[in-house]
Amino acid sequence: MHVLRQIHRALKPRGLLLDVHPLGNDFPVLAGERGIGFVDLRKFRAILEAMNESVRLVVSEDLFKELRTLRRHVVERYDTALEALEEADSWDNLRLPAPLRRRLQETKTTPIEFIDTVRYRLLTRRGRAFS
Amino acid sequence: MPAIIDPDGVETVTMRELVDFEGLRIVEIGCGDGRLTFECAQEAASVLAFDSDEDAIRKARAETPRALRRRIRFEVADAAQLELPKGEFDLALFSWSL
Repeated sequence: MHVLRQIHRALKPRGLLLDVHPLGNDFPVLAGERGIGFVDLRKFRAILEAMNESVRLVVSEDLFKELRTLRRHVVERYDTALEALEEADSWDNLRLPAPLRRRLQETKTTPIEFIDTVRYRLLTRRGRAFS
Repeated sequence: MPAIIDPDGVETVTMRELVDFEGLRIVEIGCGDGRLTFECAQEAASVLAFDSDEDAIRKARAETPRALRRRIRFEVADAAQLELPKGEFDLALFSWSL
């Protein structure tokens, strides 16, 4: 909440806020053109929900108004499965289910792609006086 | 070889569908290595970009295209502790960091 209030204060009247976030759905992993499983985003969804609640709160307080939302699939592409596994090992709140990890370890097909769904939410600042 | 994020350029097309960056003063929270910052800065008047990850900011500074250097300032800061000037920016961009 602090950061949204800070941004409200830092924006000019009718300034814009563009929030770019993954939607939080488990996302598919492709080896070449074949789906080999889904990344588990259960833990991450809880974090996203807290973020969404912060936005709902500032909208309800009339600090911001939602203008438009778009959703798009965004690809993260790796030349090898090993690189994709290294990336997955650096994640904090995303989890590779064991069968997916095994398929990644075994596949020789490339590239490996993670296909996330991202939400682009545009809001406008409300209120004249700086809070 | 690192990952190629968004090889089809979906993110920048989508962002431009929502916002015309031309001449805007932008503050970006969670800029990471500057991937989206560089896109916005091509048209913006200025971008002040924050991330709490020092390594990411170091990389962003090092990889800033010469033509954009006067328009972008990268700073290490935690979003929860930001203190920004009043009424300064046209657009706040939250890149996966709200």
